[in-house]
Amino acid sequence: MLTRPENKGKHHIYSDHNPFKRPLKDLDHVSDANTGKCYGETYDELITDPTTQALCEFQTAADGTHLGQFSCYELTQMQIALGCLSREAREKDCNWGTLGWIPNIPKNKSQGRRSFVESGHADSTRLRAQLIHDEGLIGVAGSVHPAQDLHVMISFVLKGLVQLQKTGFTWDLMHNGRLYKGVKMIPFVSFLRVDTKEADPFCSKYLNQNKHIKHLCRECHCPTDQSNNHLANDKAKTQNQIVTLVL
Amino acid sequence: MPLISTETGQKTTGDFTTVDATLDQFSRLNSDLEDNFEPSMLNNEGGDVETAPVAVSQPGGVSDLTDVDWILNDWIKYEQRALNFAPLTKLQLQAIRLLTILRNSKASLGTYDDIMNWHFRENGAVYMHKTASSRHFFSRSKLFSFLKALYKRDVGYGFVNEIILPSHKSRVPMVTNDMVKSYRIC
Repeated sequence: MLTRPENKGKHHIYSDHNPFKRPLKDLDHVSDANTGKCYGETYDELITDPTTQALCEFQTAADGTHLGQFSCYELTQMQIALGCLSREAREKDCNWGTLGWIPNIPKNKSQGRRSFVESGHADSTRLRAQLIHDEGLIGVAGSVHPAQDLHVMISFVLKGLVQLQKTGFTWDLMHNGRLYKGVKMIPFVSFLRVDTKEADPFCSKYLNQNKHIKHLCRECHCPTDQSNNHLANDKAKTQNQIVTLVL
Repeated sequence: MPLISTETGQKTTGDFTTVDATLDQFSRLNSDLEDNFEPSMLNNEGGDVETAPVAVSQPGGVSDLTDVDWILNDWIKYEQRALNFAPLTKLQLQAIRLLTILRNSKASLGTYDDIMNWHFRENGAVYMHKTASSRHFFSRSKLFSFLKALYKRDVGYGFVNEIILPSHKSRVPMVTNDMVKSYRIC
């Protein structure tokens, strides 16, 4: 994406066509990704040397798809795009890179085998040995919440992205016919674009939405019986609160 | 469509060892590795998941993300290697154009080979009860292999690893791409 010949100068949204420059603080409008509060505050937090460091925003997306009408197999694709590209450029398929695919959890197969082994039937001896080899010790399961499975897969797919955020990278940035050599790119992920179906398990939110659920909203502590109140101004859920649910 | 030989453009791929020796940009490899761009908010260490490689469809190409210059040096290597590629031949261009038409028309993956078989059967180059082989046309897999090497997609894609889920204890095949290749597609 950094070297795509399709992306010209007009497809980049650097402020004043300068990749090092911070967007103006007194903007009275929001036009693209770099004019929002998120970009500006992250710039202030991460950029320590504006002459050599450039903020490199990543936008991520995840969307699941069934592999066929008669198939129960579902794949969720994790993708990233550069935030320095304009919205029009990010709508192109070529500007999205795929990090990996998250499959649905084949619990039926494993549960069937496990139930048979746990029945203690004489015929299950060989299967028990095979199951221990395949899936670890039997009988110790249950201490981990089932929601952890999805997050283990997500963390596996995003491992490289997390590592890249920690270290950053150097790049010779070409923009508007000018070459900026040795630019230290400071990556950060602004958001994850997902549908509700993916967003709920990603935030460890209950998937059922009835009156017994405390909060219907993923983002704030608005009680369920107040969900129809569009003027409600409840406290937002923080990253730490979500982390305690999924880690 | 004329008959072609089985030779592809494999000889046009560059030699990494010679390129390495001639690149003065590689002095970056010895640059200060102490640079640390780690934001203060991202210092939490994630636990490693137990993994087992199942089938690495494209071996190698795993990026060394601890080296901040690795990505740039890898790109410079590719640029030097790309200079040794010959231009696409007429037959390769024909095959690519056909694949583009099929792609844009959302045809199924095997349509290219079916069309080629139909073509060579109808013009008499192949008997009706036989299938055209790689002697007659660039097969899709061979053309893709060539294009992957040409555009540096031959390594770093399609790693298959199995992980054991902590709750269900089932093995799940995970298909991932190298992070660097994902966003720095050549």
